[in-house]
Amino acid sequence: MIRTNFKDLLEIPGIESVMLVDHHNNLIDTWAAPSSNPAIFKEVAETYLHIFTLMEHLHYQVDEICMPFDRGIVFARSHPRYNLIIIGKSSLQIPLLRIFCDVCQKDMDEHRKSKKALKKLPEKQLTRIDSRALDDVEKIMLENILEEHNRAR
Amino acid sequence: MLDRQVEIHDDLIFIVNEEKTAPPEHLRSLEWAILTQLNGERTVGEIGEILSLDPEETVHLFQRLLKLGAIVLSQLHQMDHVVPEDVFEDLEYQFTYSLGPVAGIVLEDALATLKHSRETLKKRDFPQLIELLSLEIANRQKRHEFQRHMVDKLKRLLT
Repeated sequence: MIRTNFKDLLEIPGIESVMLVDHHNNLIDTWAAPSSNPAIFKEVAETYLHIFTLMEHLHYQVDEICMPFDRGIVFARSHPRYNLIIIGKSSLQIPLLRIFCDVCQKDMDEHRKSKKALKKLPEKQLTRIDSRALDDVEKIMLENILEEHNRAR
Repeated sequence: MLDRQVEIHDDLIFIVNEEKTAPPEHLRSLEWAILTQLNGERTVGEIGEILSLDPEETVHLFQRLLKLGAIVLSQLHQMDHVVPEDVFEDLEYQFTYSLGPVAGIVLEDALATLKHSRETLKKRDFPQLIELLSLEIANRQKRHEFQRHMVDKLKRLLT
């Protein structure tokens, strides 16, 4: 799916891995440059699933997150049927990434075969956080955030 | 392909072409010496000085390495080049097609926001310009067509 629909994106120098993950945290498809470690994909995907779900729960309209880390950046996008996560070098230009993602995602949404495949994926479960997937620290953090949010209301 | 037509001058920065390295038997000792000096930061002029080469000889050696496909122009350095005029002409044509007659004014405004003009905008700032212009196109289909066209342009311009 990624090789077909995100071909242009993969040609950008500095892209190290691309993941498509459904809203139940199942990897739909992944692509990785030889230098990257596919073992971390599931964990990274889960983190962003939590972030997007939490944002949605708090009624924040956040569809895109870009976070730097010590060896590069993580760029994540939320779509009604999947999350797109890209890991790349720090030299990657975010506006460039955004344009390529816009085009590739729209192409995928409109492509007959992909459309069918996307329809089969579970829809976003916007107001539910899967507590089974949270560890204790995350649970406490989440409770604190929600408490603060409720107090601010 | 385009790299091989580059006019060599002292300020250019080259890196070793990891995709295609010329077979060792085709390289002379001075050319090997140049390859060992390439670190993505040293310019042609600096390498010439380090190896005590005269300017003509330096240009000749770099030209040969380029022709053999052993070196390529540094990506970062390429990003400092200004956007060619024909790219701007095409951009304006496509943007006018998507937005209408005010496209020229919106384009100038976007350039002013980036504190640049058509003559000074560098390749590294071009995606940001495209992004600013895309936001001005309200019709989603037209915005997509504009972005699709510019993706093809960006691929040629930046890679």
